[in-house]
Amino acid sequence: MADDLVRQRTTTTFVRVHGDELSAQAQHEAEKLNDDSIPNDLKARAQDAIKLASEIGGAIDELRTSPQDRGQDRRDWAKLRQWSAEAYRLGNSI
Amino acid sequence: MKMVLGLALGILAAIGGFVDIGELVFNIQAGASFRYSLLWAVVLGVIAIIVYAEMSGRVAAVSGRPVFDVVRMRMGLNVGLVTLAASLLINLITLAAEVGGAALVLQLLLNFKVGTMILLAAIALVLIVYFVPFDGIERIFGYMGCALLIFVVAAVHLKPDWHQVAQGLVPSWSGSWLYAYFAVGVIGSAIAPYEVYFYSSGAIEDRWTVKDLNFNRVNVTLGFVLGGILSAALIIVSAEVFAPLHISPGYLGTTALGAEQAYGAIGLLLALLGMLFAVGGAAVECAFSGAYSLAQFAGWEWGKYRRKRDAPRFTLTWLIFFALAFVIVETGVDPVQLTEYAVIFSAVALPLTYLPVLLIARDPTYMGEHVNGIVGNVLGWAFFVILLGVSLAAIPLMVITNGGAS
Repeated sequence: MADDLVRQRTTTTFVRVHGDELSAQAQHEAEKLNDDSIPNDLKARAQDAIKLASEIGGAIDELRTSPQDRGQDRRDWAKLRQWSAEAYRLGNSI
Repeated sequence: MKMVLGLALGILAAIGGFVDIGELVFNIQAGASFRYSLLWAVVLGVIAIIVYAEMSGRVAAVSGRPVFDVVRMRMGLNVGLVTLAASLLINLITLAAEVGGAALVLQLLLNFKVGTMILLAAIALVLIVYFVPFDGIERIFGYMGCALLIFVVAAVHLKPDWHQVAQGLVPSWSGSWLYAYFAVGVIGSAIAPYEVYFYSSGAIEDRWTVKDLNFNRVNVTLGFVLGGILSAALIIVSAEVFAPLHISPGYLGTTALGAEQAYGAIGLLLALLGMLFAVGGAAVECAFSGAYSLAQFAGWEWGKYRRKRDAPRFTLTWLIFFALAFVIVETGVDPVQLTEYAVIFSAVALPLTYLPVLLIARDPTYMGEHVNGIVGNVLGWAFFVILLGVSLAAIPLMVITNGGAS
């Protein structure tokens, strides 16, 4: 979605509504991880995951708040790409 | 010329009407998780629905009996009652999922609160069903649902590896329960019982006779094959767009992103429009299907072609269905989650729906010279065994995979 927003290939209405769903999901995942009882050897990675989920949710919130701000969109897009790769690596390490 | 035009319009309506929220959820998730390797399940489901829809249309045209009439006649009152109860429950869950899906798509288009969109979707559907004649309803939703063909265009545009696509058409087994769960979901979505209830009752509504048997055959074959191509395109687009990024598409909005990736905002809007009319049309089919089942079982007057005062209980039943679906979705239940339950429970009920159709279609007492031939019987029994397997596996797989979450 961020990719299409940066390339101006989407609608602001769609970004606002779908972004709301996605950021809520990221926030929900962070809360679930926070509430789960995690074995000691996974605690550090769980903390990383919580931080990532919160950051991803925050960046999506920025996108949907001001989808017309091209500079902000590009910065959020770059951050989301980086965090997506980190999340994938983290997921594979568990 | 008029007949050819009628046939083309019927096929167009069948294409647009084939995909519902079940395909939009299961096929997209299947493509994201297993790329092309579940395409064979679409093929299997499409052939099964062609075989059984053709039979149910033929039974309706020859004997003048729609599917639920046949269920009660062949299976007796007790089994008929069980089938009726299961069918009504599944129709209601599916209807709630479709109404909720329509509301979510409207929200993606208009950005109003989802509660308002549910109300808008329910009222719009009830008004259309109340005031528009039967063939008009079929065509409004069928033609507009064809906007979903953007996924077929997108599937080609995304340049998939056609060799791998072809490999996906051959049944395989990945060894995981999740794979089996999605196979059941994809097959179950393609052959949902409400589609056959609606199709056979529609044949009675359209006053089919034996003269319409060729129309029936061509309509189901071309309509469902082309609908199946659309259904397969959803898997291909998902395999191309979501699988490489490890995205698990859990929202209808994510589904639309597949078309957006290929064609930008135009692709997005066409996908959303197509999804709106596809799920809206399926909602109408579900509501009618529930009302048809109950009216046919109870022996009430039924049919959209009758004046409302001539079939009051039928009219009241579909209105109640919409009202109940509205209440269910307004509780805040996730329509996508609801869809998964609807498809899996539909899969469980498959044998109860299709066995009576097969038994009547092969019975010369009812069908005379239009009874099943050898090919029809072999295909009918072969698919019945497959559907029985799907039915028995559905619930255990849902439990083992935690509804596809693991």
